[in-house]
Amino acid sequence: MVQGLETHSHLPGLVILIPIIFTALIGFFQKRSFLFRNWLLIGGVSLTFALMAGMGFYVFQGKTLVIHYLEAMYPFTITFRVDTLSFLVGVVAAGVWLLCSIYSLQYMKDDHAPNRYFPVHIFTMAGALGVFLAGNLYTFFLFYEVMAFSGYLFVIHAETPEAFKAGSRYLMVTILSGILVFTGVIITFQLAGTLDLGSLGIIPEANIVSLIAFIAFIIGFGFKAGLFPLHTWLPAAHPVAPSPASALLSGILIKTGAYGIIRVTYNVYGLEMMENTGWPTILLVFAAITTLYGSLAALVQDNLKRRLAYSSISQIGYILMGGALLTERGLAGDVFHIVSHATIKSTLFLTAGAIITKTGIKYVSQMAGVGRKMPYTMGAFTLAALAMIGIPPLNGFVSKWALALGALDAGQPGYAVVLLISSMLNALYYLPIVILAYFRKPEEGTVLYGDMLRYDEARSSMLMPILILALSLVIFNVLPVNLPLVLAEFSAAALFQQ
Amino acid sequence: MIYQLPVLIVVQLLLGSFLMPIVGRFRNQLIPYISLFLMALANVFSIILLIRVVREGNIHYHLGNWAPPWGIELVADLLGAYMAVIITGIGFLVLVFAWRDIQREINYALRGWFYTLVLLASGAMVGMVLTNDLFNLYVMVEIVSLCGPALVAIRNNRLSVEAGFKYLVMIALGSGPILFGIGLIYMITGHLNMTFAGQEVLTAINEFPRVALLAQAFFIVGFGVKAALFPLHVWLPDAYTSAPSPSSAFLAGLAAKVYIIGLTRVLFNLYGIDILATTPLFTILKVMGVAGIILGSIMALNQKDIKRLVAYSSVAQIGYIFLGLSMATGFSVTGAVLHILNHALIKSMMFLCCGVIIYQKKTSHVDDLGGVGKEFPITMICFGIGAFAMVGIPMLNGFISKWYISLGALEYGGLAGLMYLLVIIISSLLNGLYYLPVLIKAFLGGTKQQSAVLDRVPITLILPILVLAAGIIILGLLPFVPLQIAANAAQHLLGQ
Repeated sequence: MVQGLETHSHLPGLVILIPIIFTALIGFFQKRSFLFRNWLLIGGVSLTFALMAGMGFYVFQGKTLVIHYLEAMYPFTITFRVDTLSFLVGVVAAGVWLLCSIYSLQYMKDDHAPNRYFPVHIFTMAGALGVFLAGNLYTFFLFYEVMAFSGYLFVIHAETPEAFKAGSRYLMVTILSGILVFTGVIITFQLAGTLDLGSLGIIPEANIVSLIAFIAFIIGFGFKAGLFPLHTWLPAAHPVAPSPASALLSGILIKTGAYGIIRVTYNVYGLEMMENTGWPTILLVFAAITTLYGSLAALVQDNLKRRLAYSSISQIGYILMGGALLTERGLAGDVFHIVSHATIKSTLFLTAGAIITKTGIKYVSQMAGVGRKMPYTMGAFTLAALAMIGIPPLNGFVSKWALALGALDAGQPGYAVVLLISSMLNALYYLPIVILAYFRKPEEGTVLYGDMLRYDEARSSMLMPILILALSLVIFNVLPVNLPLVLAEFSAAALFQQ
Repeated sequence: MIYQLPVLIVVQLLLGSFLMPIVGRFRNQLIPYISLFLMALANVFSIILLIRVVREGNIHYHLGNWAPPWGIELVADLLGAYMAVIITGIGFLVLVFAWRDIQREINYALRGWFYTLVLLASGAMVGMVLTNDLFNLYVMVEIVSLCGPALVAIRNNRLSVEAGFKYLVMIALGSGPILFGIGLIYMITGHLNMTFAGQEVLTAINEFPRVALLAQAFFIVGFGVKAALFPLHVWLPDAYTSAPSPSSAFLAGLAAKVYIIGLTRVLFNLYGIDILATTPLFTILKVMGVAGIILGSIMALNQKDIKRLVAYSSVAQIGYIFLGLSMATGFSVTGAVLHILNHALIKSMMFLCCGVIIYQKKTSHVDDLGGVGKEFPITMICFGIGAFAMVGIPMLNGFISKWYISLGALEYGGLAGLMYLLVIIISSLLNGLYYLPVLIKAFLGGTKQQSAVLDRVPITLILPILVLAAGIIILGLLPFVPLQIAANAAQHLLGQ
């Protein structure tokens, strides 16, 4: 696909503007009627999703949507640029956001502060989509900060001491990440004289200053993504956030870090410079450590959401590895895994949330019998767990296949072995949950409330998003054309044009 | 008429201030109206002046029609007109805020004097940034220096009188060196007009190199004390904390800045960038600026009083401005000039927000602020905007100046440039670390019972805050006009 055709369109601007407008509307109306607020939330998110999907009309024609706002303010111009990669990641983010919104209506119904949660929920969407659709580094940085700071309100939502503790850690990481990305951005501007993300490589030469910027970018985005020594905020923050928020944190928000690294590697520095200097090797090594560390740490967690959080860390390792291999198939696997992990991990967090609301179970060791009580929910959980392990025809398999091929292309079979080991570890920490839930009788006194033996599913407004997400793990991969994979391959090809 | 504007602004403010006690004898309640009118008029005049200067270049005004080498000359250049707009604009908003606020903070008998002092100080500040005459500059510096402590002590309790006295002593110590410096310059050049003296300095510096250097040192120390350059800042936290809130906003937003402009004028116009580059002056300023940025931020981390916290943050921000000026690259000076405006907006707004809290809750201790965000949402949201602007979140004005100063550091180049970038970045981190806990406490702390009273405080307290917050956002989003002015002023200062 040729990326040369650029079309001007206000669609990307609208996609960012609508959630912001609806944030204000929700903030204004929610005290009067919660029903109207719910409609506003679903309406706003659906509209955004529809517009985001509507951009596919242009993207499938091979066009890139570009729009500049405040051009006279250069370099503080707000530019959106939707190529295949932005479109794919953006549309998945909007879709997951929509499902999480539907789910959160029921989940947050009896919560202590819905009037804070819902505006933040939709506002963060503007931030995350802004990051994915950004056409220059200024816009990217702007929305990155917006998203990161509003994510803080997700983390401290419960207002318990642990939540505040996790929140302070998150805030520290957010500020650090922000200033490091700022460093990278300003050095890029000084060296390249532009912040545009439209070309493949804008940094003119590799020297010590551009290396400093690269490291600043990697550490800055690594904080957000949960790269190994920088990940500590992640397992603290995910369990304390409300489940739909953890689904978004883990499914979408940490991907902005991985997405940032792809953009920096391929659009700011360019493939050629990366190959010549070999700087991504640093990233590659840390990504492999992250993968193994995350899986090993997940093995010993008893708190279900904490185990899922560590699993996210290990999956982020896959994603970062794919980009750092510098092969086209590796990058395609990277992009595809961003998509598949977004869907798988949000399925898992939403099921965890459903289990918590119905039974109060938070620990893996208490999960005996949940499979009989909530068969659909557990079914979705099982499917997602299998996808995580990488069983065909689920999407986790497709991404691992592509990533492994990428590693072989790069002549680094060692990383394919890392993938294999990590998949085995995935099986070791996911399958016991499934076995426990279906084949063990519940013990007395483990459950906080509800009768463990009686069938009692979550409400349909919570179950439906879970089932749709679970279905999406299968459906695209059994169709004759695997659409996400094709789009991922196109976006990788576009970044590999020489 | 338009050519009289520079002097008109100064004279009407000074005359107005002398008029206030007389008005107060007959009709006390008229004072706020008249002073607001005069300040608004001054602001309009300054804006007209700025537009004129941008379109047609500098306006020279000779007082009493005495031509420059002998008479006093006022020059409205870009920097001066720009500062005049800032001074009168912030002054106006502070007066609006003070209208109701000082009824609780200042004794009845002293209220009229507050207006006198603000008008006098604003007039002198405008004079200071517009004058091209060294002795005239000194006179204006003295007026502002004497108004400052009076504005602090006017609260008339033990703490504020003590802080005012400390401020007075420190700032009076700064006056001497400035006068010595001017005397030395007069001695070696025979001129007091900066343009003429500047031409003479080029030859005089070969004859009396030590004297020229000594004068420079006197200027730095003198203006440094008054502008709270790092090791000379000790008067600032006490003064800003114990002053009435409108005074704090006025002094923090403007007083320190005009001295920086005064120093900049003396150094750049008199000596010129070429001579400055041969002396160790810039190194000293950079070291002090860096020390101010880091240590000011660290001190702010430990403060338990919100006004004191904001005051220490001022020390750090002044360090930013000095760092930007002393790196003396196009971008860094642009950033510094821009930061004078941006910091004036942010800091005045934050002090006014503190003012609202004190007005209602009668406390400014951080521990008592739990849940104030729920009670005063508008005020605390504006405070949050200010805090985020300080941290340097894009779309807020603090980001723009931070961007240019950082770019200046990179343009400065080498390892030193990267070190300065690191300093700026660390200070952003520290800004986040001391402001965000206050915000978290305000919005998430406190009890559940606290409900929004939607800032049930007089509208004249909220309005200036809202205007300043809007300014922060608008200048963050559309920085074009101030940016162009700052860039041109920077070019002019650097003689490019």
